[in-house]
Amino acid sequence: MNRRFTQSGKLLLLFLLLLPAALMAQTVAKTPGGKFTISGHIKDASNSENLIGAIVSVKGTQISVATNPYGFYSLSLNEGKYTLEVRYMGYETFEKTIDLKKNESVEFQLQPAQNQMQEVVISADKANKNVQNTQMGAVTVSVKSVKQLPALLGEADVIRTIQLLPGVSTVGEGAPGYNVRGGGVDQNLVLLDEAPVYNGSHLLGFFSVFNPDAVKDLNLLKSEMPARFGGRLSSMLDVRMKEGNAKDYSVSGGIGTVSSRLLAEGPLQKDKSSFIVAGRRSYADLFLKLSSDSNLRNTSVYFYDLSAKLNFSLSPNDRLFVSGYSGRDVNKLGKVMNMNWGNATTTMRWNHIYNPKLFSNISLIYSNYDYMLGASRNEAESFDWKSNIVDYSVKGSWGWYLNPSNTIYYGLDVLRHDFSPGKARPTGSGSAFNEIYMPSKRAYDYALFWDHESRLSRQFSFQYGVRYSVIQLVSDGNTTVYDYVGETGKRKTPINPVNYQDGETIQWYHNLEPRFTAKWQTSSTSAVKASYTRTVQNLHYMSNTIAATPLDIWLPGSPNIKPQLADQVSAGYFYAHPQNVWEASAEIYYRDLKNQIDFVSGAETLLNKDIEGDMLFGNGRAFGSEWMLRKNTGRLNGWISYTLSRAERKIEGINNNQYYPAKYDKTHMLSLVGIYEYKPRTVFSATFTYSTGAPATFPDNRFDFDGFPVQHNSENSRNGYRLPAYHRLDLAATFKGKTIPGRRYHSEWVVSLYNALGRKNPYSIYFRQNEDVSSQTEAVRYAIIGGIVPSVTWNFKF
Amino acid sequence: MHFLLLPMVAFLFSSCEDVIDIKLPQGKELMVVEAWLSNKPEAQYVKLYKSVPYLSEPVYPAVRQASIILSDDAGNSEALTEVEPGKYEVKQMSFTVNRTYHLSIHAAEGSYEASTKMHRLGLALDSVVYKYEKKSLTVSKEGYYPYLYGQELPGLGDYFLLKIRQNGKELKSVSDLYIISDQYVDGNYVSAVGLNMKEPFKEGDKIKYELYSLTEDYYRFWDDVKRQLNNGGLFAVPSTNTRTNLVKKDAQSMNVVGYFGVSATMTLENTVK
Repeated sequence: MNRRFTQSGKLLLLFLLLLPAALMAQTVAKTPGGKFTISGHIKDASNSENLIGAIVSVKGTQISVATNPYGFYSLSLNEGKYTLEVRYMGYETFEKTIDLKKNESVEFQLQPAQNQMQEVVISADKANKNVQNTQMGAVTVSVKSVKQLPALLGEADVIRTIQLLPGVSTVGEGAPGYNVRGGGVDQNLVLLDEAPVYNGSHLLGFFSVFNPDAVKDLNLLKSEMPARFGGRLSSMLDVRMKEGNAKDYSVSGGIGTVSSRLLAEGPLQKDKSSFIVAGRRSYADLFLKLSSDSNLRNTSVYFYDLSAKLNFSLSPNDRLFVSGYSGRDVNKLGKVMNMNWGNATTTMRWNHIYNPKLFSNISLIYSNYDYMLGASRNEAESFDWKSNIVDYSVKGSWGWYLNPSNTIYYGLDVLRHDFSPGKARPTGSGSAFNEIYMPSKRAYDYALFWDHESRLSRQFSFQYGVRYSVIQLVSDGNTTVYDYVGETGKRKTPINPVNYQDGETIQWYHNLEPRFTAKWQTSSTSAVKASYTRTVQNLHYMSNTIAATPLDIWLPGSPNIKPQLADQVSAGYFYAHPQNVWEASAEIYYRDLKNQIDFVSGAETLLNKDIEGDMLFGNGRAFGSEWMLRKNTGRLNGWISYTLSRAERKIEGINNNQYYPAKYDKTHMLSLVGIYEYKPRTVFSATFTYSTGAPATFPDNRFDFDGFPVQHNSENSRNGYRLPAYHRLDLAATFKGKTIPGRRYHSEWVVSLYNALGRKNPYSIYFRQNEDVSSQTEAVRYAIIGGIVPSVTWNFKF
Repeated sequence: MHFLLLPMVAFLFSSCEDVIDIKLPQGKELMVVEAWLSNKPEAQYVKLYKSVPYLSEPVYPAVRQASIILSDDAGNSEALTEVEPGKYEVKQMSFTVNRTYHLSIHAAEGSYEASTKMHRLGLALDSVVYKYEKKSLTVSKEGYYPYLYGQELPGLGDYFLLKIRQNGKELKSVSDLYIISDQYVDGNYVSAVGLNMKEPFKEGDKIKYELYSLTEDYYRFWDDVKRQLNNGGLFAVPSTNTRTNLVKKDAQSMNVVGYFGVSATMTLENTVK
């Protein structure tokens, strides 16, 4: 049985490897019938950064194409004379007339706009025409402009900006991650230069791990993902690091309330290769070093991250990128406790242009997330505890630009996961603890994908795709697998142990994920779109707390933990003002989620070998409508987003087996974001958010047991009540220094007030014993931020 | 281990807690069975009463004139005597490790039953010493803190509850109630395990430690009780009801909460110095 699987696994792998080659052979064939291809890169003229999503259009026609994530475009046209127009938000539009008689390679360099208002914070794809693209649910966040929005303690944060978009919610202030359309925080794939990032937060969730200086842009794809993206159910966040200035050296940075940043970039060989290095460190702990208390002196709570990227043009058709990231949170309480966690990623990418119509990228990726917790209050209680996740992957993707109306993407991903869910061992010789070791887990993830974007007529276009995803669970060392029996809703006990030798396959799971989107252009300014998407998630997150913690582990499934599935249908209406001053959209969706995970009461999600016995399974559903109105240009720009939605779970053993609201279910969510250019050097911004209170479970009965007050909900319901509604106003002002012609030095001050109304928004309400009279109980409101948080940041650039 | 993370957040942010007035829903009344028996040489009682709305005064209506039969798997059986309204005394039954006990209740509110085993006491507490600790990052109040020593018996699956009496007064704050599993310490000599008392002791205090054995399920019941009263902060878990081992004999009976537990005990008494 297992041998048969291993063999079919090998065959599958072979098939995966050979397919692209076979397809390549076909595409190299000459373009028929007097058609020629113009292709090349579009770059920023000031620093040679490739521009993602820049538009090349043929004047006087409807034909246009956008650059891919590496700044490459390909446009096939009949022989003839054309005027090409190249556009990108925040840059001067560029025109070029071309007499097409043969295949041409043309590199465009766009000048950043001088007199225009800065880039907008978000846009529906860089095409900036939600009406032109077939894709739904895609939002690009410009990091440059995110810095002008008010931020908690002045730390510009892209994840917090994402939380202002329709369809995106969070369980509460300061909680890590975000929830998209009724999905858990673990159902978002976060890629940093294609490497998966397993914990996207610093300081438990207050800040994201991405240094805004080093990030070029971010693209959030809500649940309607093309087939080339997969692995998570609810969304994909593609973070691309800057490539570095290939023309000139520059240094920039900032000094903030929480952290300082520094970035250096420059050419290695002018216009051919460049480097960028960026770092950030928080420094609240440095002041503690001045303390007279030795315990305080030895206490540190800080985070840092370091990003670096090199890129080389090997030939006109070959480009190599090497990027790395390392970030860590360190917490040390004197000699008593030490804890740290962090991500490290490395990506090597090779872009190759086979011919003007076929672009490829091969990536080798390494990603590691690990944490360490050590305690040494005294010898008896000393231990250290470690856990990590390592991913190695190879990704190959090919973009085949058949003609302006048809583009095909295909490729494969192969990942190896090595998870060490937890190892705790005593350190002192007098330790009372035994060593605890959770067996490590190994799995291989394979995916084959095919996407086809097609325009049938001026009105009608569609894209379809399919992703074939496979996970192979493999024994790491000697793995024992159990069945779990017991009453539903209660902890189950393991029975029927089955042993697997090292390398033996435990289980295969195969899934086909079809994706489809169609667009009907109702006028030059409006379009209607509809889509169906199936997504599959093979990795599972073991967390039962409201906010995810850095200690939570991931598991790659098992015979008991089946892949999670989501099916979604959605439809939307999109409008864009002819000069793109205004954009509006309205979308509705319904999602059906299968094999969702929850936990029994009192579950142990850490250092528990039988964690599967504590897991509960069930389904979920989510539906809602998302509204957005955006002003893109002018001295005042920004957006209003509103979401009316519901996210529910139905898990056996919870809420009497009926549907209940998920912890991030928010009926109404409203965000207002405004940026106002008061004077060319003074910009004000404000954000206001309102949302229905988070769901909560409250007791309705009390009894005592041995003198201790006990809470009881006589309906045995989950999340039947709501916390008071949440709202928050944030304000910021940016004062830019004078730019002296001929001098490269710029600087600016950003002053912000987070929670300007000083609201105590409850994160939770819980019940505890009265401090003095232990038989009395009281309701306690817990607010993460209890007042106004002001901050000042100074940014500079040489 | 999540509690370890919290001080760090508090360290940087002005997170805040305040007591608020909240209107809670009116739930259905419940039958409460408080039946924690032990081999402690003192009178043993089973209490029956009805629950009250949460946040109201804990004045419970007694369930009177119930018939309660306590029996064991060695053929012993006893009908308990109501000595005060809703308070029923065990007069003859003795408690022996590894025996299974059965409780059967008939009252106007309904009929219920429960079974439990008396688990061995797997920890021989031999001494408690006190260390004077100054205020520091991990010690919030200056004073004497106890450190426990004792042999844990080999064999996984021992669970304990530790109650503390200070100068004759039982400490009733949930943070002074300790429940212990041998999961990480099975078979070891446990030395100098410190207790983080809510209030440290003073010199001369007479302290009595009462150690109770628990079954795994009873341990989880106590874990439920503790978690309910400690469920603040960033890493709160969904609030859930405490488990019970009492079952209704018929559908008409009022819903039941509480627990039937039988513990083996030991005590250790000393003076803080």
